[in-house]
Amino acid sequence: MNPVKKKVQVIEYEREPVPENRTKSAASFWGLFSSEHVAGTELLIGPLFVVHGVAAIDVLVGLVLGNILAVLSWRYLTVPIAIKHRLTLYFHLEKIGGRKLVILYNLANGLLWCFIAGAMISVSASAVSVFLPVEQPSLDAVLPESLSMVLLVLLVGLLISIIAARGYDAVSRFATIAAPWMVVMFIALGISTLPDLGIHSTGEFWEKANDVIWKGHNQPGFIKFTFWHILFFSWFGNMAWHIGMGDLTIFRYAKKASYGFASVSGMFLGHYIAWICAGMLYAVQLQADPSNTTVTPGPMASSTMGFAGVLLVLISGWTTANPIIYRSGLAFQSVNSKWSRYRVTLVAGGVASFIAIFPGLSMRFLDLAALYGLILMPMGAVIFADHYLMKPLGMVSFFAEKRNIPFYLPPTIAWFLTLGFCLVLNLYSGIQVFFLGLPGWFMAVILYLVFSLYYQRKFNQA
Amino acid sequence: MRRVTLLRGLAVSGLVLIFTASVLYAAGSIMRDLFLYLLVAGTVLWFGGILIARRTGGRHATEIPNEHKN
Repeated sequence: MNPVKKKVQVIEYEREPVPENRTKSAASFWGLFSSEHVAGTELLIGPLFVVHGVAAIDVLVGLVLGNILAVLSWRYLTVPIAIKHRLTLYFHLEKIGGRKLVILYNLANGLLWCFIAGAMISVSASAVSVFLPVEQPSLDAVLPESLSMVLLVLLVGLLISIIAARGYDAVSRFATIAAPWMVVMFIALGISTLPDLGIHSTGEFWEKANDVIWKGHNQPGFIKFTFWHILFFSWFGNMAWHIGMGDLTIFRYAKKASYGFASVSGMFLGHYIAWICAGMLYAVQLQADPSNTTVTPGPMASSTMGFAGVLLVLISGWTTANPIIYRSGLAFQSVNSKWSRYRVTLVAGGVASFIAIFPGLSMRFLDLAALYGLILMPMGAVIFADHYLMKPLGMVSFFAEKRNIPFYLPPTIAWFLTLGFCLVLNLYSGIQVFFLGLPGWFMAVILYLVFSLYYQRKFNQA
Repeated sequence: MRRVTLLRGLAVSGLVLIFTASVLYAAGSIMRDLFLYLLVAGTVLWFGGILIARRTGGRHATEIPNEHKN
């Protein structure tokens, strides 16, 4: 009997709570997190820790503690709100601040996604560059250094953008298939660097970790990373998703709040093992040629794992860039639903490809990742305050929905003033971007409550 | 169904091959050339096995689409 292909209509519950009987098993979340957080970005982050001169003890212990804090943030901040309302982040924000706030948020998100996608395009291009006579950018490069590399990046970006514009499903399915392979390949990558690093027994690891891999000397032009940098980066590297509440959309399918612990799989496979293995890969490159300080994952992986390593870089970069460009297109399209999704996605891909030609983006990826989370984080603080603090303080939560307001100002004011506050802390107090998330989160909560108090009183009097 | 299980088993053996090859290489038991070939062989087994299993109708019902982050 021939199998009958049925067209299944997927119900995403975009504007309604997920029903209890549609929740997913804990295993789904463990699998999802382990695959989502082993991505092309890890190939930049691990080496950049070495570039920033982190010491072995700081990276190995700082990552454990930072990742535990990230897991606890998901478990105790994001998931309880997600399973209480079971709404997407966007619909949740719309109820708090109105439709126009969501458009503003989408624009910011779409633009930031273009930057992340740009970094991933350059990662994929570095894989292709292994087979071509292309000059690799230097570590301190900000602007493009070679025309051939620019053309290669644009070509790879164009291909990725066209695939993204043609639809999400196929790439998403491929990413799901590739995820377990990528996890094993990252582990194999780390193991296979051991002979080159001179590690032949477990007893030698600690000595080589200190003397060869994480020596504690930062490259010129890159700030020295300490234990605290590592802790805060690993905690806030995914700030947009946990305290920024981006993962409300995923966890609305969770049956219980304890499913938040599933993030352990992503944090410790992706943000511990993969970062450490990628750092070891960079150490091999430095050991072979101390003057070769550039962070280009393609040639690095090729030298250690040959063709399979090139495939790892290509696939991890591509499967990360593709859905990001697709979602960036959707975010921009939300401004005007009449715009063609295909064209808008192509434009988003074009912007990402243009950004990708600047090697400074990859070489400064840690700053970019921290900034990405920081810019979106205040909306998470607003959601937290709206959920837990409005009622005890005698105010109304989901105010825009209940009063039918298209643009409720307090969330937007809290958002922009928080970013201004963070900018002041950065410029005048010298607090680096990696540490701004924590004071920024508290400031966003306070500002949202103060302005809500004022607006809701004014509105009720009117 | 049996064929799908067999193909999935083949795919998983690809991952086991990749891991084992890297351990053997690190231990100095195999040469670099063989290590690189085994990595490619493991990769082919994984993607070949899983893709053919899915075409044969073995897609897992509870799969959630993947969206890589960082």
